[in-house]
Amino acid sequence: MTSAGFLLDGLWIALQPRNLLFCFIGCFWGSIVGVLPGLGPLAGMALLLPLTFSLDPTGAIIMLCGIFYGAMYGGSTTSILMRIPGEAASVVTCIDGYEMARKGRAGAALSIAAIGSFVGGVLSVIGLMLVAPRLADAMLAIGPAAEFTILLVALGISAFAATGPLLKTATMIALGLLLAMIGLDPLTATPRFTFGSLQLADGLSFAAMAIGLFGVSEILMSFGQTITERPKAPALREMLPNRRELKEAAMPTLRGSFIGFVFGIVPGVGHIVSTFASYAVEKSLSKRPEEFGQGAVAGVAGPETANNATTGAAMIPLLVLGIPAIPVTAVLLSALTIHGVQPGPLMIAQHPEIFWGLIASMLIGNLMLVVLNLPLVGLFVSMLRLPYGYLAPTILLICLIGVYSVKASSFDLGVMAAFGLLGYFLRLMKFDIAPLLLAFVLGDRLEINFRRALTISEGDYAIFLKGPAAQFAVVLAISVTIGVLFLRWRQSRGATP
Amino acid sequence: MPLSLPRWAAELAAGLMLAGTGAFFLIVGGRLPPPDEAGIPGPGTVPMLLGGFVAAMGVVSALRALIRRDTAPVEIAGGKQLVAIAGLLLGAAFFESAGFMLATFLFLLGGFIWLGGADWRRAAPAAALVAAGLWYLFTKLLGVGLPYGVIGEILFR
Repeated sequence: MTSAGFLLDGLWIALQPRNLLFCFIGCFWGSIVGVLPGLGPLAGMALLLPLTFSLDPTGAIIMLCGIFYGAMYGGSTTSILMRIPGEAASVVTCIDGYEMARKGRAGAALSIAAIGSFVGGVLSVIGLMLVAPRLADAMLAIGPAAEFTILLVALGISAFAATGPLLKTATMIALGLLLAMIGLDPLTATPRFTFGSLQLADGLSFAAMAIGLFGVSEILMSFGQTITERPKAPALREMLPNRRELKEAAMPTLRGSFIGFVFGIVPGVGHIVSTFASYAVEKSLSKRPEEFGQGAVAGVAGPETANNATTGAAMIPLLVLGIPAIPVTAVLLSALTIHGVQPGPLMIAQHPEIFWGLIASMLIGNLMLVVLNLPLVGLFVSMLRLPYGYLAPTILLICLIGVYSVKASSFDLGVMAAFGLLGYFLRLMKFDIAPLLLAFVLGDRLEINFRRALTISEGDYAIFLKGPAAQFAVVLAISVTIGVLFLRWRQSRGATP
Repeated sequence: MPLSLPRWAAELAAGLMLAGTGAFFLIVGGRLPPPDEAGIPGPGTVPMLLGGFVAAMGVVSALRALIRRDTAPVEIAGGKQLVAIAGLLLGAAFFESAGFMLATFLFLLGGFIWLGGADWRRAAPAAALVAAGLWYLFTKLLGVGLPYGVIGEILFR
């Protein structure tokens, strides 16, 4: 069967009333968590993760993905109306989106963001559809040595792409890998760092760590900020952009799709880098760069499109390589594993209904979000009018419930509180915590492949250089290292990337 | 009054904590059973390597902090952060024994008063309403199993 045939099958699966409902719930909840400061897509997905246990894997993954791209949509609302990014990827939208709102074009800015997000989302899903099956075929041929090197490259790239200093990021990766070692040794079942605790024998709970590091620490950080803006919802008739605005948004939308897709595939880079890159490109290509920062349409269309294009592309390393490129896809990996589906090169062949159902649902979900988000701006704005002092305890409570409901374990609540505190201090000290979580997720596989490769070679480290796949991975690692070091060197000299 | 430290002192503390964590994994990893064959990594090999790396990075960070002596202040925690952390720890400790309703009500009441600056007469009904609403949403509509505790047993069982 061709890709088009599989996609039709996927559409049939995604259009089942049950799956449509899951897609809607995911998109709606995603929009809410994207709007609310302190509840990003990661916490939003982790909170609903336990609810997916009773669903079939296809429905579960459709709902969780809906939260992911729904949050990307929702994040732009607060950026434009209040100059507060609902989640980190919407930071760039604050610059020109808010300026457009101040000039009375809030509705147009929201519409341009929604249209750009839709186009970026759809184009990236088409890219995912074209690239993923081919990459999966290539990946089937590799052994543990090459897999170890590829995982190492993924972590290396995330280290270079992180926002913090290299030394600190490398330390975070090592710490994440170390935390993954807690529990039973995957090859010999020897208890490691458990000190006789049964709760630790299974390892640290991913949900508790993720919600603590990202959800709780975000709330703790936000206490230091004051919100003075009172957002006002634009009337529905003000939502349509005029012809000039649409024309100005057209090319940035297409360029943003491409930039977002390319950055989305690279592990660890994710939404923040792609949106900043898109903004920089649009500013440098603009005939009126002085308008950027004053409400330029391209400054909203490009980054918002790139943001959502990254979402679709980030699925490629997850579904094809089993590597979560960003922390959010680590939650998806966790959800798929719970449902007995192992993402990787065999997934498309073994579970075509999940893969193609997901792709089709992403197309439908993106359309659903355009229809859903614009008329519901008023509702989202009224949520933002709630005083933060009331909102923060409620969000913290939802975090507690989310973590507890995974394993009904009070121990995990303590883990969440501890990691919330840790995340808060690490962020104060300018450590990037995303690589820590990525390393935690990949730690198991990295160690298993490292040890398996050395067992096969009887301790000969040259195995990591043998075979075309391993050599390709090593060449890729060296090229990426040189490339990123060069970019960092240019940045340190004050040149614009 | 927020607790603040000069950046070099905060960086030094962070470096030392990392060095301690790394040293812990290095030492405990060294006590794990050795590999069956020489040259092939055993259960403790990777943790020891990583622990050594983290310890070394921690020492480097601490030394850098001492050399640079950045005196810019870092606000470690204000009253609200401390209240939130204390609330979370208490919530974690009593979530099962007190039951969802009571633990949630007290957690929200404290949060609304100390974080939101609300008067207790407004905070109490709001906390009760949100606690009951969340209970209904999670247990009845979403089917999540939450601990009943004493109050839940009396009211809902």
